[in-house]
Amino acid sequence: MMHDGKDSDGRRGELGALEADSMLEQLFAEARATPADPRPEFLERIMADAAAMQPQADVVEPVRDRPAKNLLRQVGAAAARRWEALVWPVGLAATALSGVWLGGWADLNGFVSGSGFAGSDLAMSLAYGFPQAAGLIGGY
Amino acid sequence: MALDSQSPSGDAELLARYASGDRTAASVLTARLVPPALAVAQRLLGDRAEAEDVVQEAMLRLWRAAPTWEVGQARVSTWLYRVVVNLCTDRFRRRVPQPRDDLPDRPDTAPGQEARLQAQARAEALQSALETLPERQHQAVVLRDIEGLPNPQIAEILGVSVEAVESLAARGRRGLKQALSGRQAELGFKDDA
Repeated sequence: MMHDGKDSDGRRGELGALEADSMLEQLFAEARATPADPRPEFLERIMADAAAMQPQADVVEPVRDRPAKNLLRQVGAAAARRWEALVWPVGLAATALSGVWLGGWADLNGFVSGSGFAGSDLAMSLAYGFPQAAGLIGGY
Repeated sequence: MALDSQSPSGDAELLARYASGDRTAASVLTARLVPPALAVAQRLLGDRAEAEDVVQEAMLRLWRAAPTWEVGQARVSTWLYRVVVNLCTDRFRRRVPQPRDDLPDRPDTAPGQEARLQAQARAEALQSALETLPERQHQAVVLRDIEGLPNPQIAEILGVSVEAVESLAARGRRGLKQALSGRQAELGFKDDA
């Protein structure tokens, strides 16, 4: 009888374990079948965060009515994006300044007109150093 | 539905598109990632509002990480689950335990009402039992038995070995059965003594 009692207890225990397993599986299945179903306002919060954090896409610049009004600002903005954009205006300005400086030097040394050159220090030095060349310089 | 059932590479591509300014990518990612992440957070915290806060924070971190996300570094879903689980852990440790509300009295006996009440009672019983488990067991059971994630992914999320996941889940299931013992009849299961 003792054995019968132990067997009976064992069977009850096994049955109980099976029932507990079955119940747990059923509860898990029901939980899986219940979607979280986020509320619309919660999803809107998520999307607002996404919009705020999103890196800017390449935006096409709108067409402007007065494109040439603020060239310097455009060049500056371009330079902020890419320093190479500064190369051509700086080069242009340097070339112009060089031209002005060379023009002044040429004028002082008589390269602008023949008579001016004849009276210049350079012409006198040439005539003194190279008498043969004096004939080529007007006034000597 | 687990995040993993969606294409992991698709998530990474969507994240890259988001980072390059594609506005629709964010909405697609949100639709794919948020519901399962919210389900996990709710199971871990037992509170919807707190779960929403956690998932919002996790998604915010994902948006921040998007520009520097390296394809192949991790699955987006695994990364998000890990952040959600860690944030839940932080909250769970900080908060003061609150008594759970009992089911409200509902005299309505309309057809279907009893079944709904019983389903709600079962869901609450499972949640209560889950909350009796140690933290890691709780997480392992939720991710494996409810979310249906594979053990290797759970191991990656929890930062433990696959063997540890199996052990945690097995101990968790035993703990749940113990917590639910004696409630079979109350919850409408047959063959209860």
